[in-house]
Amino acid sequence: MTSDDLSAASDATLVVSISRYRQEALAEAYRRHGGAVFGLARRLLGDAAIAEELVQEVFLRLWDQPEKFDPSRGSLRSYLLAHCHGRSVDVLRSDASRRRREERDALRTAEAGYDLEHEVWDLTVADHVRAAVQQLPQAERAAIELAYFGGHTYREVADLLQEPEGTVKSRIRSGLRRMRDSLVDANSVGLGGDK
Amino acid sequence: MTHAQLQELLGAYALDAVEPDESALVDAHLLECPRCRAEVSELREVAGLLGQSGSDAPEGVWDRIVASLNEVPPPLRLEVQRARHAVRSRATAFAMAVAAIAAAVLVILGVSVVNLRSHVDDLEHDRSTDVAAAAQEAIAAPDARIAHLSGASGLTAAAIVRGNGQGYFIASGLPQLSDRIYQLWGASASGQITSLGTVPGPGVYAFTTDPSVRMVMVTEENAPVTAPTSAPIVTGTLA
Repeated sequence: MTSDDLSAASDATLVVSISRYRQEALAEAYRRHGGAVFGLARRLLGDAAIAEELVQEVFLRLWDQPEKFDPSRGSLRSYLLAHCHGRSVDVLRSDASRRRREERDALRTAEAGYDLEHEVWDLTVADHVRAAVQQLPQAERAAIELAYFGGHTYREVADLLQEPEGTVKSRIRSGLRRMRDSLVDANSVGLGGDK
Repeated sequence: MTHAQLQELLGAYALDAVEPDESALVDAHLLECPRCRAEVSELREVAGLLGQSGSDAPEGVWDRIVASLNEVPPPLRLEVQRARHAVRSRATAFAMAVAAIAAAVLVILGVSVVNLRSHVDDLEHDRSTDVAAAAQEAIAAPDARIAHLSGASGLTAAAIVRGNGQGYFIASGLPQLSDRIYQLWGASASGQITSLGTVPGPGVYAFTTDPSVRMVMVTEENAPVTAPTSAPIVTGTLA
């Protein structure tokens, strides 16, 4: 398989090539998903330099442990973003001063609402995601945004919103499920898609 | 924590928004609950869509990634041990190996006599007399653990691991492959999977492994790989 073939290869095929130590396959994965990973890390951490380090870490892990990606469980991009999110949250939670700043930022995010308008990565899917977010009851939306973009635990979210912990926990789950249903209807989420 | 309580946590878990102790509880639960595992995958997929943006991959980071890559695959830990000249007469060594392996398989694994018979026949075709003899000794050793490998394919094989990590792979029940290879894997209690080596077809082979290995499995591969690329054709737990 040549590099030309790789640009047309599915993500699952890329990962198999990565497991065979084909550097150009990792390069193609980076070309496809490096921007999304960086965008999420920068958004959570608010610092481009730390976000870049995290991007590096995420792709090195894909190189070292390609077997951790299971294409039957979801797309490569969502796998990479999940790893990026987990590590970003680790960084946030390990840095008290950053944490306080992020809390203020997160509150502002929640108040302003989540604006996907200027983050157009795929017009159709972005439309569907925006619609799914907008259809959420406000309480579910705020809980999800504070947890996901603020890097807060559900207990912290409960504190911030002055709601019972159990309520926040339920809202996060029901909100995500609601979004999933709406995205499945719009065909934006498959059952473990390839891309 | 009840199942319902664990389920309620899945949304927050998918967003990395649980406390470390809760995360550990969910991790443990997911290992044994396919339904919750599927839900976490689905919710993570949704979170992934939320987290997407149109940023370009940052300049310069790729160069740093390339500079950090470990480009050379780690060597497979074992090579197939080919037959050297037999110390004992081949007939005697085979007879002893066959008898010992047959007895051990019968007693320890309780496999049917039909399977046993095929092991015996295959061993007689084998040329790796030293390895077969060592496998025979290993089976009788008090520190040996044995795995009877089987799978949906109907194929069978066996693995023996001694306390020092010396192992033997009896691949008599596997058909000869023409353009692919069998790769042998060991899994630790924590699920860490390590390549134990590759073999071309039926025979008795020696390998070394971390003695804490718990499971042994075999995949078919196009070439030696660092992680399995397909479901195992046979698996077994060492006991």
